Amino acid sequence: MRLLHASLRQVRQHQQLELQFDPRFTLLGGANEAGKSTVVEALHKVLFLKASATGRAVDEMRSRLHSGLPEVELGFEAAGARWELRKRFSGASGTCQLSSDAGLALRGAAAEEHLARLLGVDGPIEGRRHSQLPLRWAHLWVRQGEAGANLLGSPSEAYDVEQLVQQLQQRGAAAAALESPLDRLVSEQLQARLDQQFTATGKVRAGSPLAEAQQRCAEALLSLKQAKGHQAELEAAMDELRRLDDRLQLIETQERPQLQRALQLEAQVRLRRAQVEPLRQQLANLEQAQAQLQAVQQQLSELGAKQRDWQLQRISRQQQFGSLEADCQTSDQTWQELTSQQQRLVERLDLAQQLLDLDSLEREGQQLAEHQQQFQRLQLQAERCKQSLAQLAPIDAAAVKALRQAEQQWAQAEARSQAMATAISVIEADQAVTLAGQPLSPGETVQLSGSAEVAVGPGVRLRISPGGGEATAQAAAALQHSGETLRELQAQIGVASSEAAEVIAQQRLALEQDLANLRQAASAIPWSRLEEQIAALDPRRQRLLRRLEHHQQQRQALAESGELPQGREGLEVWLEQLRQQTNELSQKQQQAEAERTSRRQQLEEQRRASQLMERDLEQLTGSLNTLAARQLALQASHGDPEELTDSVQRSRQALRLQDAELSALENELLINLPAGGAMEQRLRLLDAEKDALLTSRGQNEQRCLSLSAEDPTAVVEHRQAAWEAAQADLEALERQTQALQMLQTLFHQARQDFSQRYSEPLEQAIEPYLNYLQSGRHQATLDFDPKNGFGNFELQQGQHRFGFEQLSGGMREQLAAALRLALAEVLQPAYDNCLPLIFDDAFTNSDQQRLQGLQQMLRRGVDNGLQLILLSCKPDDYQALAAELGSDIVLAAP
Amino acid sequence: MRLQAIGRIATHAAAIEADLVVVAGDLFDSPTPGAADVSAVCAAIGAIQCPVLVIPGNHDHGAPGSVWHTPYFQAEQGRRAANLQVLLQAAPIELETVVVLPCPLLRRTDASDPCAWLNGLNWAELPQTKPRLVLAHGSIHGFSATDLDVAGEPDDDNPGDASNRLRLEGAWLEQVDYVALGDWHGLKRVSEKVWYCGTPEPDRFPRSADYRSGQVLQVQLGRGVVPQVTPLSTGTLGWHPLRIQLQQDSDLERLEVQLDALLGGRIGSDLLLLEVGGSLSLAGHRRYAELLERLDAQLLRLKLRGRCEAAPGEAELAELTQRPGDPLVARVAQELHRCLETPGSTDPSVLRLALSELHQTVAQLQA
Repeated sequence: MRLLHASLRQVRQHQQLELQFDPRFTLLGGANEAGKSTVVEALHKVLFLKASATGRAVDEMRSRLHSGLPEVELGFEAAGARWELRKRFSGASGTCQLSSDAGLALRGAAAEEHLARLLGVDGPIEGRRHSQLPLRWAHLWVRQGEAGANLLGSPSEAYDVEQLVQQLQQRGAAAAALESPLDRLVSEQLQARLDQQFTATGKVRAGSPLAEAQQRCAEALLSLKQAKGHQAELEAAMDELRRLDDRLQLIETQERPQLQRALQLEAQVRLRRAQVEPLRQQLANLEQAQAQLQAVQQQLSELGAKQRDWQLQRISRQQQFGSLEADCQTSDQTWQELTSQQQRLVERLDLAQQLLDLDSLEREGQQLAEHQQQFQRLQLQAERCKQSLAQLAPIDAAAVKALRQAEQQWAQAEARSQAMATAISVIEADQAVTLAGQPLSPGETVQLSGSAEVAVGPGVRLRISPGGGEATAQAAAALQHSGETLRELQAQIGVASSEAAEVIAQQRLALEQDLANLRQAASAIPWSRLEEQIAALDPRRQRLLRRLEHHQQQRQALAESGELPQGREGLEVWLEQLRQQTNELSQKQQQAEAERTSRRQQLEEQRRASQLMERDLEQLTGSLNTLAARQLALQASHGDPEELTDSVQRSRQALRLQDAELSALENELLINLPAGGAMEQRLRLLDAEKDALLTSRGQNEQRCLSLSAEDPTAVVEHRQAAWEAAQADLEALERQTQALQMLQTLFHQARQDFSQRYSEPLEQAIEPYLNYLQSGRHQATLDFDPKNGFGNFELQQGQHRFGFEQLSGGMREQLAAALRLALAEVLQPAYDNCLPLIFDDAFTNSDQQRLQGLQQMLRRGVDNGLQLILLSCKPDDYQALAAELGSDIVLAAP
Repeated sequence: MRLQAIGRIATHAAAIEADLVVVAGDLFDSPTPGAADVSAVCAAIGAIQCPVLVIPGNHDHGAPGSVWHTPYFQAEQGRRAANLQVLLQAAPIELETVVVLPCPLLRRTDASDPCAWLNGLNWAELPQTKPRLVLAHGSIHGFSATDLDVAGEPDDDNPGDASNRLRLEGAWLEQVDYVALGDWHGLKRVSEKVWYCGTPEPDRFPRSADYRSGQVLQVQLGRGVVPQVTPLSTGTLGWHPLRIQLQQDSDLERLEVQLDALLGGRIGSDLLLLEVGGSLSLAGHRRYAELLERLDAQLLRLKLRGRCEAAPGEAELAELTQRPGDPLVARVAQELHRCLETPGSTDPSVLRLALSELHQTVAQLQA
């Protein structure tokens, strides 16, 4: 089929538009709102919309600018003829005319039907089904904005699937049909049977046979469990009944009789104990008296022995005390003697010491008197030295040195003056010779230090001037000055020369040295307070003498006996001897003192011990008296010991008999006594328990009866059988279902395998177009399903697969275009080896680089026989292609 | 049927002029049988001409609340079976000709030995001239294990645990003249004076060739002498096990021949355990199903074990695989056939069933 020309009248903005289509490629350019899309829609509607359609599909074509109803004419080639189609869309009265160059001319419905056959569709679309209009030849009509949509996501009628499958069968190896009607029926029936059992989501359908079988099986199992539960319940009730019986029997035959017997025994034991108690008391009294009497006798015997012993001890003590007293007296005497010896020694020591002190005092007085004389002597010598010094001029070494320097300076000045002066000597004069008016005598020599007039006789006057000029005068002045200085010094010191001064200075030095020596000697003498010390000796001497008077007698006696030593050394030796004796005596005295004290203490202790013994003896005697009285009293009340022993024996025998009987009763009670005691309470509790057990037993019997009304064992058997049957049914049904599922799976697999025979040739048809798109290997993949057509359209790039929807906008446009070109190429043999393919602004998302690839795709489509009509608001992009392949139409805005 | 067996016991007892009939447990198969069964059993026992002594067994144990204690049983016993004596106490019973030593089971499972009381019995107090008969119910050591069925599952009669286990190795065995045992459903001689007599009417399919059931034992007792034991037949029902492998349709004829030999033409008095395996063609399987239906009508009970599967025969398979006009059906049938020929993980029985279903569906749709 190929479009030849078209004419639009009163279609939206177009009042009258004539178009000629190139058999290969037509570029229809125009700005926005120029009416390009109107052309696309008008061409589609003239082919597929019934002329007499009403409603929106027609209303959309009507023009608001131009009066008149929409009218479209189309010339095309199909089925080996050229056709002219004219439709006037005037609502229900719309007209359709179809005529061919072979002479066929049809109108109305016949024209519409023939047209549909030429186009390979069921029939024209009526107004009320206008929503189906876009599905017609959707693979060939690419409307604005739909270029990136997934064509294979649409219903399969959108791309002429039946014709496509036929063409693919002829094209590929899939000569055989995909499935036969029987195949389809079998598959549908399998599906129907499975649908009975399962929901669309694969769950077991409620109310299905499988669900019912499962339900029956579960119910049967539950029922069986209940029956087993009843059976177990009955067994438990029987066990409980047995337990109750056992317990009741135990109470009746053992526990209760035992308790009763124990109660009885307990009463007997109480009675017998009451009888035995007075006897026991009596025996106790007798035994106590016996014991007391024995104890008293024993004590009497022991205490008597003790008394005798103590009396013997007292005598011995008294003897010891006497001897101790004598010892004490001896010690006292010894101590007295030592003390008087000590006294004498002390006195002698005192005498010796005082005598020595007196001697020392005398020596001290002598020494002080010597010091005094020596000091006075030194003082006298010093006085003489000072007088000598005072008589000498006060010349020291510095004065001597200064005088010596002045003398030297004068001598030097004189020498210089003499050296410079002119000497005038009068050797002989016959006339008066005067110098400066002063007569000069012969033999006299005058030194001239300055110019002077010498007159000889009255007539001769000579001026004599020394050679040195001024220096001579200066020397003379210096000489005068130093002479004055020397004289002043000599006058000041009081000597005529330096030699004399030096003699005086040396004398002074010697005197001062002597004085210093004297002072040195005086300083060695403790001269200060010398007088006071001498004065103080006297009172001390007086005191010593007075004390010595006390020892006068002793001194005298000693002196007479020759014991008193003479001289200091003798005294010192004597004093030392006395001290030694005193020390020895002191030691002896201390020993004697210690001995004396120790003996006194012993004596004192002995005295205290004797006192204690006396007191104890008194107490012992008292106790013995008391015990004797008690013995008498006991014998008075219980008879003598032999009688008492007999009474005790008799009483003990009687009690033993009674005790044996009581013990037998108690043993029996112990055997019968239940643990925990409180027998009356236990008996009451036992009775209460028995009542409760009987009640419980009755209830349990009723329970057993009611549980066994319908034989639980038989019920369990029946239900077991029923459950097994239900299980067998279920298993059979499950196996059958499994078999059906397996069949269905195999059908799907087989169909899948067959479907590849269609998808593969289509993929191959797409591939050459895709190769233009970009570098790298691209492959389009798709699936075929006989029921739903093609789908699962994907692009494989290397290892990765991308779903159509995952691709970018530009890639989607390009891939969709390749698919459409391939579909048209596969389909065109059924349409006279040509099909028109209309793109309305279909590549708006593709960049310039991709546009080149796209144009190559389009060129291939054209080369393969397709008629392409490209509408674009940017026609410049395709003008070269149009120039190469076909024509170029510019649509101006009306 | 089992009630009628009591009638046959009565006939035997009368014929041999028995002194005593003893039942070693499980007179009833439940501790709480229905009233109708109680009345019928009492009536049947009442017809026996001598005393009948019964101990409870594990199925009808003597716990309080069980049938033996119910007023209904006691009333029916008084009314219909005055000769019936239920022994619920483990204590000697001295009769005119024999001393009976009952070991009743008083609960369904008891870990203790029901015969234990005999160990403490003062034998000197028993009459020295009368024979002593022990009546007990339970399994004995070394016996039950060999009688487990092929699947290795514990049988109802021979529980795998040690409960109700009788210990016959005590010294008391020397003191008695006969031990009548119940529990095992087949005839079993344990020793010359210890016997299981089995059930008077068979109640299960024999598991081994020497299994004997459907009899009572006639025992001649004397103090200190070996008892004379004679089985007397009381069973009437035929319990037949039959095992067959069906590999081809002609095997069906072989099966029918065997059935004829077993059942004769009897109606309603036989029970059949048919252990079947293998597979038949679809047509053969239809015939097999018809045969089962017929047997089910003829027998008292038909118990099937195993399964005979249906799978298309060669011709039937060809009908499916040789269909160039129906490529999917042919392809699916070929695939199923291929899977069957090459054993793998898929269950062959499911594969055969799928083939059968496919064949059936195609046949229906073509018709």
